Amino acid sequence: MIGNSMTAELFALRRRRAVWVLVGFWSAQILLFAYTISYVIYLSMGADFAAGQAEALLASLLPASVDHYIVGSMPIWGGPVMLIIGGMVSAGDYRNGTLRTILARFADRRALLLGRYAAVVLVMLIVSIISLVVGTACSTVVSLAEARPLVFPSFGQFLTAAGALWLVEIAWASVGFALGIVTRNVGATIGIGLVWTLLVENVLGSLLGALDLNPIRAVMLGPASAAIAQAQGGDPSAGGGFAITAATGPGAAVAVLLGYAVLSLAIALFTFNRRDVV
Amino acid sequence: MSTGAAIHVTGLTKSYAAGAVAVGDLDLTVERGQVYGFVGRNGAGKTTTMRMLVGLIRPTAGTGAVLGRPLGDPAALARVGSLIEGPSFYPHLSGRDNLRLLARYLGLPDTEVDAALERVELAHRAGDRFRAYSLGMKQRLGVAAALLGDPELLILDEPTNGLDPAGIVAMRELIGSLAAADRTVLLSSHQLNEVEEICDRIAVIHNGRLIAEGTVADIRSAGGTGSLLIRADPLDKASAVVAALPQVTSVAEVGGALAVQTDPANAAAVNRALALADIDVLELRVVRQSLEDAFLDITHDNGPVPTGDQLEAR
Ligand SMILES: Nc1ncnc2c1ncn2[C@@H]1O[C@H](COP(=O)(O)OP(=O)(O)OP(=O)(O)O)[C@@H](O)[C@H]1O
Ligand SMILES: [Mg+2]
Repeated sequence: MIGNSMTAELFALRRRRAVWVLVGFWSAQILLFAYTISYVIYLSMGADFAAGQAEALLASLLPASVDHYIVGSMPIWGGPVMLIIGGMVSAGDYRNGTLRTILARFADRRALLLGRYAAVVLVMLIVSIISLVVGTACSTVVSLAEARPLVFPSFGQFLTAAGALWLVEIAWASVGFALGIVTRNVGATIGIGLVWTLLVENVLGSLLGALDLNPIRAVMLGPASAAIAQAQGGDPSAGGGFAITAATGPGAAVAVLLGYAVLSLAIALFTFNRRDVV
Repeated sequence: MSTGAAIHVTGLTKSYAAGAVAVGDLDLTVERGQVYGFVGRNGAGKTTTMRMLVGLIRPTAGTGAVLGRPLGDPAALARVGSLIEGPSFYPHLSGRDNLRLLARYLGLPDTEVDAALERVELAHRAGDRFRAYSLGMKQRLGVAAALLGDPELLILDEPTNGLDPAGIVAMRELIGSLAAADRTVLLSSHQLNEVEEICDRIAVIHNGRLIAEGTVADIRSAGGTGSLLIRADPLDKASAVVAALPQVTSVAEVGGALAVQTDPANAAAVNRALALADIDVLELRVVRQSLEDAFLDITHDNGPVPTGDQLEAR
């Protein structure tokens, strides 16, 4: 049953342009913010910068750093996009009444929701791979422009990066998935998701960081995502996406991210099972 | 195929947060193979009942079974096709893709999709986006979705809504063919002449309660006796004679004839009385009460469509 629901959701997702526009948007962010702008900044760094600082920035833009550099861009740039994708999958069906068409026939609500969640998880894996491919392409161009030798991370490092990206994306998308079920509205999900990312994760997060209240930051999505990136060798001082710093080690961060996913899914299942569908 | 009634509910009740009772204490049994009509005025509770039958909303009270399984049971509902409160599909997908999506959920091959589209004569427009469909085409797609996988039971909420005359005839034939193939159909409709023609049994629901149930003939007579139409000369004298008869409820003059409210079985007695009074009877015929007349009769005494306050008071 879960398999049917997942197959059906993937069938629908393939034809859902907005989702792929968002994936494209995220890829464009990598291209624009993570690489182009950072590279321009590097180029404009004059003699007044310490040589080490410019070199560190360039190093993060080279292929050898692509694995952790992309993971590091995820918390601030990619998270909200994944959240919206999760919300679109779970809330999209309320708008046209299609949920009742489906549920009247496929009445196993738990299977329906788990199948859809599985589809989201699969899409996140695809996004992880696309992110790494785009990052590798961009860093290769930088490397060629700077006439540096082409050195790539090992296959194992790529795999680890894909796994890390996947986990971070799943955590964010799960929050969106739950928000979508609770609000039953894509617009509301996007609104709440963006406000939350901006106010709670960014403003409150940096405030708590400045006050050194790391125990609270430790259970926040952004810092937990950042912790994963730093554990892979990401350097928060290198610029790029690293506006959010870690508050814990990678082990605790993995637990926090999985916690978000499990809790969100539980909330979604509980809410979805109880409510009338009209 | 399991045995027993296709639908059997007892004490089915749905009340909403404000205290309004949409459906109250409903008992209903639809036997397998029947075409069962569900009629009632706007807001009577037809759609609400159907939603409970397919598990979209949960009853506040009462129990029931659909195809021998408890309400909301996924295994049973996989064998129930329904169209409730209008067709709802993804506007950006074609009619065919909408059905293919549904087929994925049900684990059905795409050949079933084409078969369903053929049955509602929508195959030639199946590639168009749902949003570009006309009202009747949307309705046809809704019916096609209900037919997908040839379910044992069909629950159709106003299936002829928006259909053109040919579409209505086709729908009647379709329901006939479903009945012939031993499928069970529960349908709601405001087209009482349609209901009269295609349904074996009828339930009349009013203000959320079942107020009449039976065969079409049962319901027709439940609304009151039929009437007689009489043309006679002289008419005013005939009117006085007929009105004096104890079996007659009322007499009215309509367009040069008398409309006499009485059991049609009294026709001979009325004729005899007129002859004895030396009145020429030019025409005397029984006017059968239609289902529509009976329906208006049964449901009229409760006034207009109930307001929210009246519902809450129930
Ligand atoms: N979600 C809801 N919240 C509150 N009241 C509701 C809700 N859904 C339906 N009702 C009320 O329940 C009653 C029955 O509605 P229902 O839709 O079942 O009527 P119906 O017989 O299908 O009418 P129609 O012929 O107009 O389709 C109405 O008074 C309606 O206002
Ligand atoms: Mg209705």
